[in-house]
Amino acid sequence: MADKVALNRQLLDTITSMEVEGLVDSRFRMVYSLKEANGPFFFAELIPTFCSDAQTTIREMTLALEQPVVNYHEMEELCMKIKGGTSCIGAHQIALACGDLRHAIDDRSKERCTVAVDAIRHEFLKLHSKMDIVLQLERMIISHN
Amino acid sequence: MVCNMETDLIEDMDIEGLPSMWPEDIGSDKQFNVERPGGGQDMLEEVTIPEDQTIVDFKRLLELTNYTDKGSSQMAYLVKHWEYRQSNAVRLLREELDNLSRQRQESELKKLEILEEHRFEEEGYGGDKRPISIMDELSDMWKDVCPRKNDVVFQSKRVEVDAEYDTVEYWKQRALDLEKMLEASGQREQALMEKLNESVTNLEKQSSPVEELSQILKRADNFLHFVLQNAPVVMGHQDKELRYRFIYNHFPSLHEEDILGKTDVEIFSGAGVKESQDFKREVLEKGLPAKREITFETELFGSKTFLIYVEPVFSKSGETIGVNYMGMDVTDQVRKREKMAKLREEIAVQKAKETELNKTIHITEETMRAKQMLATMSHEIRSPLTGVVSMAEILSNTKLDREQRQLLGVMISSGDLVLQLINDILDLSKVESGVMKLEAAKFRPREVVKHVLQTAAASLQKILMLEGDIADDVPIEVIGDVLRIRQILTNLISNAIKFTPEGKVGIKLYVVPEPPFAKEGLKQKSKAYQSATDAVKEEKHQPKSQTASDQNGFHDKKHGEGYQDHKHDDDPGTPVSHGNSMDEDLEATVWIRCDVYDTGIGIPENALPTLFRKYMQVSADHARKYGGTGLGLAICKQLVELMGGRLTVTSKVHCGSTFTFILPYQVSPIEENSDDPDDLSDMADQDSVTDDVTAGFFQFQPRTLGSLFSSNGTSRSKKLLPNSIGFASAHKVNGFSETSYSFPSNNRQKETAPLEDACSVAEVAETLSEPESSFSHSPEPENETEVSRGKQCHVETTSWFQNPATESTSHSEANREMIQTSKTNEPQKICEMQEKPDRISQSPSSSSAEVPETKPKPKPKILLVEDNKINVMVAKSMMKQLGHSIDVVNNGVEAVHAVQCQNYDLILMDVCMPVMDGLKATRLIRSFEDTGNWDAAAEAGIEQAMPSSGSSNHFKRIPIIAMTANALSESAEECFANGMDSFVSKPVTFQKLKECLEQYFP
Repeated sequence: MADKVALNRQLLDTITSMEVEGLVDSRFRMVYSLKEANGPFFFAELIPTFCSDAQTTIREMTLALEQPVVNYHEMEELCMKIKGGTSCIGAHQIALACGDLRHAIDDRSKERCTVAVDAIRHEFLKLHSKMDIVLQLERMIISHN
Repeated sequence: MVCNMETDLIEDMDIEGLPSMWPEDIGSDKQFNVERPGGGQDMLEEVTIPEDQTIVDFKRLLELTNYTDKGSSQMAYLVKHWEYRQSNAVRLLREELDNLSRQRQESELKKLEILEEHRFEEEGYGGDKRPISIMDELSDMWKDVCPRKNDVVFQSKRVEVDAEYDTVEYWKQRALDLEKMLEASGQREQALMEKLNESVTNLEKQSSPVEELSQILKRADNFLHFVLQNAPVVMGHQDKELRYRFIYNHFPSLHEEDILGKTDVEIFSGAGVKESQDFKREVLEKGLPAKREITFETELFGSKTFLIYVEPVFSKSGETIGVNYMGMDVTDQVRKREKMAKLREEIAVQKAKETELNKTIHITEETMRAKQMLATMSHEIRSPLTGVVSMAEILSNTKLDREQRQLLGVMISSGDLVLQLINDILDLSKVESGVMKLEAAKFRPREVVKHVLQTAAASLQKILMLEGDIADDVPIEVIGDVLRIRQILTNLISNAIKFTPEGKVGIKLYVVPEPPFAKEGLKQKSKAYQSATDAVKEEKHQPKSQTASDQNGFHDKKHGEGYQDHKHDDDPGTPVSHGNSMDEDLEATVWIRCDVYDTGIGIPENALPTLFRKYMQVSADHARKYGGTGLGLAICKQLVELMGGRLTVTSKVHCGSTFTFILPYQVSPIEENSDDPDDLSDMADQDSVTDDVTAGFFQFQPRTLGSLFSSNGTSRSKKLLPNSIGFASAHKVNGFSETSYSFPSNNRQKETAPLEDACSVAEVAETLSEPESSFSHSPEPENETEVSRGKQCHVETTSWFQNPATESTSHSEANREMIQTSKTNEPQKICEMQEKPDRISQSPSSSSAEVPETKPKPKPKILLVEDNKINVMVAKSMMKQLGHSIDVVNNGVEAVHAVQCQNYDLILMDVCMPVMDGLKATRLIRSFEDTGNWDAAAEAGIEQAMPSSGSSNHFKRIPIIAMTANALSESAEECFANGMDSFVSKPVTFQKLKECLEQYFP
């Protein structure tokens, strides 16, 4: 039991540090808190879903930008998709980068799109490592149950 | 031989000498600068010049030449010139004479020579030894140069002499020849003499001065005529009295006798004549030449513009004796010039217009950008803030001790305050950038006033009397943007309270005749409302049962209040007669004036003009003492003006201020059994319509100092009365006896809290020490919502939780009970109230917030249409936490299928989705509800999955809530236009979701 408390604290500390770093905003904690009502597996399921989702979207965006003629409509949809997911989970930095991407898409600037997608990927990788830690902790907590 | 030679010589002379020494015409070219001879003369001859055009008064001309400076100098010049020519001629003649005499001498010399030669020959013939020894060389030389020719001639001549030399024959022949030569010489002499005579006579003929002069004059005249023959020029001379003495006009329209001796004024009449006359007189007086352009408008030659040059003419003694006048017709030029000016002006105007247009375009672009920025702003700022608040919200869900809960309360209310501030700024910029749209909704002014006052009273920390006085003629229900009106009222009231240390603050409402600014205002207003009117009806779509319970709740409260302040409200039951009359004129506009008065510190006169400006406060001292950003009044004013009204203020320092705004409202008929009460009147009581709806006077008064006290620093209770510090008691106006505010109430916090949590996090702080029932804290949530999102539902929230406990069959009883309690003000009420939270508190603490155990109400079926997995997961779990389970589909097509297969009570619809977006899906669903078939969906390519499970006559309207990422009202309108009932902006928070659900599942 003491282990679990320690793990919980560790997890919360990790989340706090992520918040301090600006990687995530308060929504992340809120989403985390949702597990209380939705069973212990909620968060442990949500994070991988989010990560694979974001990874796929980023890959698709990269592919779309590699085309000789960029399909901005597709880009817009992908951008909205990733922004929806990230702002929902509270991945603040990625959501911000998505804002930049959106502007670049609006301006039909391939160059800026590429930069923005790079930024998104960068932010995602930063977040991803932290998410892994969180996920591991969460799994440990679950296993303690 | 000699004779030939002589003739040659003379002929040479004739040719060479005369032309070079005899200039054809002296002076004429100098005078007129014209090549006179040859072509020029011919040209003149070709041109026929009618001479009668010059009209000359010869006598006058003579006078002129005699008396004027110019004339005399001209004469003198002519004379001088003539003299010069004369002397020249004399000189030439003399030269000629010299020439002739020289020739004569020469010829005589020759003659002598010839004679001598012959004598020599004779002498030589006589004696050859002529003493010329010394001269030999000379004679040789002579022979070398001159006689060579002669030799040849002589030799040839000599050949003619056939006779033998020195014979008689020879001499005879020789003599004959010489005689002949002499004869020829004599003849030549004669000819020369004749020529000389001729020249002399010629000379005499030419040299007549008058002839010369007149010829020159004539030439000048001809030249002038030639030059001026087609020029639009008039020349003239006028004497001292400005009578014409001379005029030259190529196109005369008057005869000589009509002009000479008359002045301009006597000749013409019409515009410009007088001016030219005056101008000439001016020149005459000043003695200086001048030019002027004068437009004539005369009968004689119509409208013409002349450029007139007038110069004075002086006599020898220097006095002006008249003017020379020269006029040139420049009508065409003037016309062209005017046209040019006009064109230039037009171009300038066009350019100005263009710049204006560009500016407008620029402004439009700016506005668009501002709009864009607003959308971003509202989203970017609100999202993190909502994050903070929802964080706190979640935190309040956890187990906390009292202190933590209080801190949390501060946190939440501070967050709300920031949110309010941001909303204020956004509102202001929205109004300014023209993005602000007004909504038109039915509402009851009395309710609004009451709620505003209740809200104010709830957070009151001063001994202030709050009163509301609504005139009888104010309609019960009117249509307007109730949120904005509340905003204005709340703002003004909170201002009034802030600046009023003691006395009273109140709102007065009464109908006024249409004010003078009404027309423009009305136009503006109708425009502003236009877009919103459609949406209104749908907003009012609410289940009946909820209304009833709300109304009950309200009814109870009303009574409670009534008994709290027993002094007033003594006539709550009198219905107002005009209520019915209002039914008849449905769309009438009524102008209602609202005075918000206080007995506060007042506003100095010099601060009045800047009062409504942004970020302006009366003085820096005030800002320090009372706080605030100075935005409130600016927003109020902008809002009032947006709605087509006027906001004014009158104030007296130390006596108080009155803020007055007059607004137009549409009057709506009162529905006796309203199925769709608007979002405010849903608190109104249908059971006791007669009391509440028409009650015109409310008063809220702090009962005791103790109960005034606020337990901690909530957002709206920053200043505490010093003597009440230390009490942790309810700060509300309530019906508790003095003892009830102390410790027991604090104990109850725990029990109350869960209820509060479930209802509205924002009110936690304020309800901490508040043990009483839902209705007495209802002003609080009202305030919260008004301030933050403008959505009301807390009251409903309350009833949502309240309802299960007091179900339809029993609620009247419960009401009565409550009335009883509030009436009697006895501890019994506390017990009752305590009991209630107990009951309710169980619900939120369990994973399902709903209380199905106590009530057999079926769970509402909710459909979530959302494509984003993460969003789905989060929304689903949030709903679960709120006690709802939901079905999820991923796009519009699936949503339509889902609706075809099942009946849903609510749909949460994402707007942007692949395959089919939320707007279209909504349209299809609405079309089904309207027509009862899925034809529209079939047309859109969706096959009906299964026959609708609902009965054929069951086409109830499913509430559809849009979920959009755009926070601007624009997209809200789009949602409404497509048949959606309301919208939640993303990312969805607990608060928003809850509000929304509460609206539909009370």
